[in-house]
Amino acid sequence: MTDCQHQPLAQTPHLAPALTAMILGIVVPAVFGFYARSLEYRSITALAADEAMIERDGKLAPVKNQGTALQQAALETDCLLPIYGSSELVLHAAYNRPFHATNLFRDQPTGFTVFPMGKAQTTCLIILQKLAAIGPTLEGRKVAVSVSHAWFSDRVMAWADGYAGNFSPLHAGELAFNTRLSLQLRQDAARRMLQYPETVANRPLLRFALENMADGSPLSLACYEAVLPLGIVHNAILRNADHWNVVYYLWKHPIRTSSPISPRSGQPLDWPKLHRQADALYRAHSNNNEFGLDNEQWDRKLRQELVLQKNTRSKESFLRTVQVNQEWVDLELLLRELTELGARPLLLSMPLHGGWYDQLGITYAARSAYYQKLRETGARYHTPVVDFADHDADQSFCHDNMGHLAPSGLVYYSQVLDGFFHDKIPRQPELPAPAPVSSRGTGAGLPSRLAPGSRPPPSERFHEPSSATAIEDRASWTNPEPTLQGRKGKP
Amino acid sequence: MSLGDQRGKDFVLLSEWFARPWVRFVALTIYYLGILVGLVALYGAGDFSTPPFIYQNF
Repeated sequence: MTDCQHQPLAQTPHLAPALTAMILGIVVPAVFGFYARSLEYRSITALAADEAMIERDGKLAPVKNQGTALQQAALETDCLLPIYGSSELVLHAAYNRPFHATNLFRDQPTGFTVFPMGKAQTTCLIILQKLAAIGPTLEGRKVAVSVSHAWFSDRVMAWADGYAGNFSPLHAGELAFNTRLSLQLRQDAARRMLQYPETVANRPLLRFALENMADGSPLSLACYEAVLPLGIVHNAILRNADHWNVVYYLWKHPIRTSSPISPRSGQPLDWPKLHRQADALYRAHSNNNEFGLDNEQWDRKLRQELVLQKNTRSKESFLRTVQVNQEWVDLELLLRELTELGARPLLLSMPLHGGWYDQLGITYAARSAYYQKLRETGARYHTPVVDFADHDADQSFCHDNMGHLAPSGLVYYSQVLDGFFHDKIPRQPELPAPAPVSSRGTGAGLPSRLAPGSRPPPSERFHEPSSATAIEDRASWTNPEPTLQGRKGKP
Repeated sequence: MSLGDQRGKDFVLLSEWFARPWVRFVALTIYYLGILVGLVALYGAGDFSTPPFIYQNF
C-alpha cells in the first residue's frame, strides 16, 4: 500500500520541488510585501516632512516619482495631502526653503502636511498614469494637481524627452491593465501614449496592449483581453520590485525629522506675516532687474534671453498654440480619470509672468485665453480651479519667466492648499479685465502693463493675500464665508 | 591510495548523499526557485530609472 502511494512521486521526482518552489515564489513575495507595506505606512508621515521630498536630484526622487508604493501609502494616510505637479514642486532656490509647502506644513500646524509628487516635465499624461496606478484608493480623497502654463502655451505637445524622462513602466502598465477605468478612457489614453513610441519600444507586452486597445476593433480588443491576465501578473511583479526599491531606500536613508521653521503642531499659520516675510526676503534677491526676476537667473540667462525674444511673439501665435495644444487633451483625460475614480481634485496653475510676456509681445488679452480655457476645462468636470490669474502682474509671485514660484508665490500656493484641505477654498471673481494703465499696486486682480522702471515701491509690492481663482466649487466643499486670513476687507 | 581512487570515493559519497530524498528535494526546489527568480529578473526587473533629459525649466 505504502509503495503504491509513493510510486507516482517516485516517477515524477521534479513535481513536488517545482510545486514547492512555486508556492514559495508566491508566499515569500507576499510576506515581503506585507513587511514593506508596514514599513512604508510607518515611515510615510516622517518621509513627507523630509526635505528629501523636494530635492531635485535626490535619491528619493526616482523612488517616489516612478513607483507606486509611497503614493499608495500617502493616499491612505489622512494627514497627508497629495499634490501632483512638476518642477514647481521642487526646491529651486535656497531662499525658497522656508516657504515651500513641505517645510511650511512640516509639523502639520493645521493638521496636515503635503506629499508632493513629480519633477520637471511631469505633464498631464504622466500624472494620468501615476494616478491610474493607485486607482481605487483615490475614491473620496482630495488630490491637488498643479499644472504649468508652459505646457499649454509654449509648444503643441509635451517634449518626447521630457515624457520619456518621467515615464514609468509600472504606471503605464497599471493604466493599460486597469479594469477599474472605462475602456473608452483607456483607449483614449493609449492613443496618446503611443504618440511617444520610444517609451514602449522595448516593452512588448505593454506595446501590444496599448496598440490593440487603441485600435479598438473587436479582434484587437479580444487580443487585449487575452493578454490582460499576463499584464496584471506583470504589474504585480513590478509592484513588488517597487516595494523593494522603497524598503532599500528606507534602510539606507534614515529619515531626518528636525524642523527648522515650521510652527509646532496646533499653531495656526499666520498668513499675513508669512506673506510679509516672503516678500521681504525675495526683494533682496530680485533687485537687479525691473521684472522681479531672480538676480542670479537674470544675470546668467534671462537678460540675454529677453534681448533675443523681445517682441518676437504675437497674440495670434500665442492664441493658436493655446487652442491646438495637445496638453488640453491630456488634461481632459486626467480629469475624466479623477471623475471615474471618485477623487476630489483641485486644479492649480502657476500664473504667467505678465511683465515678461508683455515684453515678448503677448498681451494680457492673449494670456487670459489660457486662464479662461483652464477654467472652462475644470468647470466641465466640476473641478475647482485656482489659476492665480490675479497675480499675472505680481512681480513677487514668480522668480523666473516660466512661472516658478518665488517665496510669495509659495505662500499663496500653501494658503490655497490649506484652504483645500479644510474645505475652505474661497469663491473667486471673474477673470480680471485688462488694465488700461501701466501702473501697478496693491490692487491684486488687475494685470500689469509694466513700463521700464515701473517697479512699485516696497510698500506697494507686497500683495495681501488676494483672490485665488476658482471657477466652480462644489457646494459641499466651500465655506460660504471664505476664512483665509488676509482676505478680510478685500474686494 | 591513489588520487584517482580518492576522487572516486568522494564521488560515490557525494552521489549517495545526493540520493537521499530530502537532499534531492531541497536541491530541486532551489533549482526551480532559481529559475523563477531568473525569469523575474529577466522579464520583470524593477528598473524604473528614466533616461535623463535636459532640464528646460518646465
